[in-house]
Amino acid sequence: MVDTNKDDKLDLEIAKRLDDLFGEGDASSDKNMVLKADDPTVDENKSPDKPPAVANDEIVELEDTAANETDAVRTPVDYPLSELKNMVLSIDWEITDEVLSGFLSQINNLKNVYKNEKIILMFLQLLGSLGEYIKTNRGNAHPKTFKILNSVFARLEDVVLTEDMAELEKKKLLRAEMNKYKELRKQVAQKKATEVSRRQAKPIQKDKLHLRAPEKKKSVMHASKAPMAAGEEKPSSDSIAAKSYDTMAEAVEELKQFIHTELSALRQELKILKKSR
Amino acid sequence: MLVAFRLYFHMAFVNLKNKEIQVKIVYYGPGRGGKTTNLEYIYKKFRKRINTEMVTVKTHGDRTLFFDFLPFDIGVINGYDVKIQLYTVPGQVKYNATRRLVLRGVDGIVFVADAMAVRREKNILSLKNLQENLANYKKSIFKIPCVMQYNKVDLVEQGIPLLPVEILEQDLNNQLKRPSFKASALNGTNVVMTLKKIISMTVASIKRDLK
Repeated sequence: MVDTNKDDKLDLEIAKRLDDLFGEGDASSDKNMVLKADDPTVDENKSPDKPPAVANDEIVELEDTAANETDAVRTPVDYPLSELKNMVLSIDWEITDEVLSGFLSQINNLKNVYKNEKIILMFLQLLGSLGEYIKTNRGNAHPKTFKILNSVFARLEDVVLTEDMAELEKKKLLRAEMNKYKELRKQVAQKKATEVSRRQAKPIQKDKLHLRAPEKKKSVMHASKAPMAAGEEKPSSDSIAAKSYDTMAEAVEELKQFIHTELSALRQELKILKKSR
Repeated sequence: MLVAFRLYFHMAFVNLKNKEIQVKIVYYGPGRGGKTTNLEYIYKKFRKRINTEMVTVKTHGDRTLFFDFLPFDIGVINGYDVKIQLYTVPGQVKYNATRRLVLRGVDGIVFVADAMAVRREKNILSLKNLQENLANYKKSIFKIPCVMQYNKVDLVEQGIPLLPVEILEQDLNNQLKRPSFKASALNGTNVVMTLKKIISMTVASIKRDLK
């Protein structure tokens, strides 16, 4: 049986300590904004071995229901770029075949809608090229790609939504995005060239540094489709250690790639700065 | 003699010799949702009192690359020196391996959801991702101490469409039924309430497991 007196004492002691640490200086707590303060996990009858009140896979059902209701809170339905906007936001978070195919098909649809609007067509072409590049390279795409994708889309929105925008202004916006795109292409080409020369220069060392990550890389970049665990089991320390090793290797590989691309981008920016002076 | 162990192999770090408990709390949620901002607020506001340093690794685009780390001591409770470690994870989807790594040995979660209407799907995907990553360590999202924080409510003043609380609760907390707070990490609204709640829930949970 749980000793509730002791638990109450502990709660009070923790609350007092936290008030001492974070109390007086915190004038920003808003109790009107506390939606639910009770902890459902604090259940007197609950033991660590007791199964949860709801099954793990219920959350998947929850997600499906929510997905069906999403339109209710999105941008207005008659806004022609609304679906494309959702795809752009999804790419920022989840790079999957479904999202990318949806994105590219939206681009094609919009090309028909705006077939007489040259500038909008150019914007769509830019987005299409970025989409194709992401589709090919997935999570290995240059980190700036996603920023540029968002930026091109934002300018496209400006052009579409601002009714009285002058042609000259539209062209200016397009040119700025084109320049960003060209810059990205340059950086990607540079990155590829560096990688090729590095591979040629150190063919033996590469094997020594290999961390088993590349063959796993693909699975990291995709959404995991592994089934949910049905419930908690006592873990095998070996399996957790093996998984941790793999995870560490993947994380190191991600970090290495990221640092490499970031450095290339910085070098490129420095060059541009020097030239502009 | 065994003096330090992790409960059930992978839970709170308990050092019996030094009478010390390390509690690991991870701020999880979609990219650009405000996880780092939560920690930054705590650090800036209370750094003198908690007497610590915050470690943060950012890209030049201001996104969390690896994680943020804010450790502090809350003193002796029930004879144990309780040390709290706050972590954030990178929200971008491509850093899932890093997120999994940061989750190792986690004792409590603050799920920082983005209340912006356009971020609805991302919140749901991130929660699902959390569930999967916890399952990787044989942990259940239904059992681990967790607090939901619906962040960026201040944006309503700028006319940015936000998700109604009912929708957020339905999407993210209908099954979990965890304590939840509307918050603005940028202004600090309910950042500390969230922190206090998760610490007390997590310490209580560790104590139950120690029995």
